[in-house]
Amino acid sequence: MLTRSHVAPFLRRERGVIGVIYLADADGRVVPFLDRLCRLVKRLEGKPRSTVIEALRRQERRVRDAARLAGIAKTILDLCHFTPPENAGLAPAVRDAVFRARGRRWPPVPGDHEVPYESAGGELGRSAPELRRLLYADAPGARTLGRAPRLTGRALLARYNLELARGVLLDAERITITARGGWRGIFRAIKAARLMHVVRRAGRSYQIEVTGPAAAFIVRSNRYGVRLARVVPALMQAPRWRLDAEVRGADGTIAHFRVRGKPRATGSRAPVGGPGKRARYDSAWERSLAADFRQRFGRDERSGWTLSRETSPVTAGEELFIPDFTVRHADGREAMVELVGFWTPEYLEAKARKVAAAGIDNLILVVYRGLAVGKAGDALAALTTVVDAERIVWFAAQPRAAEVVRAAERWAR
Amino acid sequence: MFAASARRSPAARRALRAFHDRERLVRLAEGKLREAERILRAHPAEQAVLFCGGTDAAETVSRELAIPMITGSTPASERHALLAAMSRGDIRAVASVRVLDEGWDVPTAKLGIVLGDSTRGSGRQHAQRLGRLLRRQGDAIASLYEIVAAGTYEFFSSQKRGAGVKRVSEGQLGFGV
Repeated sequence: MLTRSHVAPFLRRERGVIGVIYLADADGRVVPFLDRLCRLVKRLEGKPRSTVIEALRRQERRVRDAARLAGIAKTILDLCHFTPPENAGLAPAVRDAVFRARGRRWPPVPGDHEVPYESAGGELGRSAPELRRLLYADAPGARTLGRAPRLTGRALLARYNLELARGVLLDAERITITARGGWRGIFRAIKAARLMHVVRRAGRSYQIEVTGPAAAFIVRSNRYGVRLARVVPALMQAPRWRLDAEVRGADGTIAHFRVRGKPRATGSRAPVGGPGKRARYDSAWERSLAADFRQRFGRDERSGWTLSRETSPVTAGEELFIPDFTVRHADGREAMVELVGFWTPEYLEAKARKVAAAGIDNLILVVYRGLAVGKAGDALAALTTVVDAERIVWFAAQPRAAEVVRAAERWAR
Repeated sequence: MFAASARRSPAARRALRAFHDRERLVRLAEGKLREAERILRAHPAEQAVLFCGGTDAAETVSRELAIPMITGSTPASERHALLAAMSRGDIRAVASVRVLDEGWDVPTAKLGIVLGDSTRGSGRQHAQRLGRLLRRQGDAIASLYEIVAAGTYEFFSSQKRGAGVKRVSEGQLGFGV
């Protein structure tokens, strides 16, 4: 992620509002340049990290603003996958053997530079040139570029702008996330990052208020800031999102900062965000249901039904319940679909509690029939007591989209 | 200030790059390594610390002389293990970048060789480096050598260090150098 030095040159603070000078492709030259950078990094696959860094730095002569290039280079490097060179794990043992060999043959005399390597090589069963190569093979700069990011110039531009916005959040005291869809990924990221947060209802949607790293009671603000930054890419999976933050400046005053996801902006409007990833599924059964739905109803517009991963959270007591799918009809009716696969009895009990607390009248449960035995069977019985038997769609091997749609015809509201 | 203005000026960026290249050349001057070897041979019984001006220089010294290097990214456990090996006498010298300027203690190390300086002649850093070698160890005499590239800014940095350490040592340590 970008550091403050990458972000600071592009921040403007006026009348209590922070603005970021995003990079836009106003004259049509930025995106082709970024395309070239992506191709350059792709060509360097297999080269050491230090070579990739130097190659990106050398592009300085092609740009007007070196600070922009430094930020873009950092964005690319963060997306690159670097791997240690072959046998890098041997480096500590090689160092130990070589340095001890030199200790036995002290002081160095002209012409004996190879002697410690040869002596250690005899001990480790390797050649002296190989030991020279392995001596610092575990250093960060020695790692090689395993896989360059598969990015286009336009996607890199949107990602760089998002990284600029993310850098501002390092000094945020409070952040409010408003999103349309994509909640599953956002909640998962917030929980994984162990951030302090409160969920509020805002009309038909929800807002998440996250405590920022600059809040007075956050002790290790740097670590917290890095954890917070991990949530931002999860926003890219939401179709539309907005983020409002209260940011504390160096002079102690608070300023407001707002960023909206607009990955497809072009021309003088700067894109921010990412292309969004394809829907990810928690289990093979979820993937199978979605595939079956696509196959049966994907091209059948007459049915009017669509299956979507974009579900809204539902309040369930003190927690939130996010169903797996939403089945929507063109006339506005919708039903929520929760798939109950093979899970532990504790998980099923917790799910039964959540379903009961949520009290949703358009929920359809798609349940694996194999569950109805043993301890899981007992837990499942608890679940079926809180949901109408008619709302449960059983499946034996794979969940069937046709049966889900049939249930939706009856229960969708 | 100049570095900040170099952001938008290609000419200033070229000048800044040339400045950094010059520093790198001076830091890694080949003659320094030969001279350091000569000093090490003149003190064959002493354990030595080679103070380097940058990580690249320390790695070159480490590879060529086959001695360990300690930098900011060396894990604390490895650093302690290296210093312990030095105390035992298994390792006779170590190359360091700033890390060993202060906060460690190997009383048997009585030879210091300054190959570079990341602070451009800071008297305080020099006094700290000297202080590492002045730990009492019987009647042993400590030696600190400075190797500078003739005709470069290092010569003036060395003078500045000398003047600075005199001031620091008289003021804080209570003796003249």
